[in-house]
Amino acid sequence: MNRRKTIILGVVGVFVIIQFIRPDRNQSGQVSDQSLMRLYHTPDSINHILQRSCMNCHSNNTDYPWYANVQPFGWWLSYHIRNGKEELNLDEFAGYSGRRRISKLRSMKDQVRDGVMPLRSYTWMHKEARLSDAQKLQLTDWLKTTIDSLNQ
Amino acid sequence: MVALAATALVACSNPQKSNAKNNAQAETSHIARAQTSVTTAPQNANLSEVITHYLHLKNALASDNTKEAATAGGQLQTALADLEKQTMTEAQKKAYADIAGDAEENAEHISKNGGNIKHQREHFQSLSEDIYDLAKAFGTSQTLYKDYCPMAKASWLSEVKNIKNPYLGKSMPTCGTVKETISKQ
Repeated sequence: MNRRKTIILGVVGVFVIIQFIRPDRNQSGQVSDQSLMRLYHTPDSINHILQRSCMNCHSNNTDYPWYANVQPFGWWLSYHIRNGKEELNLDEFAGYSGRRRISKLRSMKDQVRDGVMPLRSYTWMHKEARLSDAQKLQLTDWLKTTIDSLNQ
Repeated sequence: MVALAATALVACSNPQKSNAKNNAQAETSHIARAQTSVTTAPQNANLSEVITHYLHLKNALASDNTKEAATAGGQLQTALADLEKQTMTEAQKKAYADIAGDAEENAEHISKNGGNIKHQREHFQSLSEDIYDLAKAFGTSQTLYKDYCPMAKASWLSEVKNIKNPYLGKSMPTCGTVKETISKQ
């Protein structure tokens, strides 16, 4: 009985302690002038999709959900955002070389078409980020047109 | 002086647009220089390691072998990074700076996606364009053929004239035609 108490107390103790280890927030608080949206003058409908379904992990400004304040979920989010930005940062898109821009746009098109992005583990919690078939088509069509225009 | 000030003003009023323009100009001049280097300059840097691993990767994809493709992708990534240690002409340095980052990233994705051949082939498309441009800038020690398959809407490099399609694999092994021969030098 006593041993069980110690274990429970230990677990609760660890849970409390880890709450104080908070990762830095991904919030530059600025509108980037290097963004994909400014570079290609994306239409509002596309902006809307990117903002809602992509930019929490692929930009310099994350709109954090409440559970980001609870560890270890905050750590998990922070890990995903770090990886996401490394692969593709829509706020720094203009900084990529011409070659890289085309590569990135192609990857975006393929992954959205195949439903790999947005991640299922993310849309499971964030219903608003899910893409309908019509939205998917809208986004991939725009990507395709942009890639074709850059290839000329 | 007035003209200069005016351009500066215009540039300030629309920074991102002028940036994009400068980038585009820089890129076209890269390409132009890269092309001239093929005919001039003694080549110190050697692309053969990169080509070897690229062809290994191409053949693995052509035979639908995703594990082998992942291995070759990893080796190619290392070879691309190692290329930087070699002595390069100015034109080669420029081409390398423009191409290598993208090529390495594509190779890395291929090496990390053993088991997902579809994704490997997507990156192989961009990678093939990168390697083609590198071969143009650095020259090649073996004759290469640039093939194109209209069904996959993609091109690749091969060491043999016969078509072995790396995008469609065994399901459509002979789709494609030779579009260009890059002679060894």
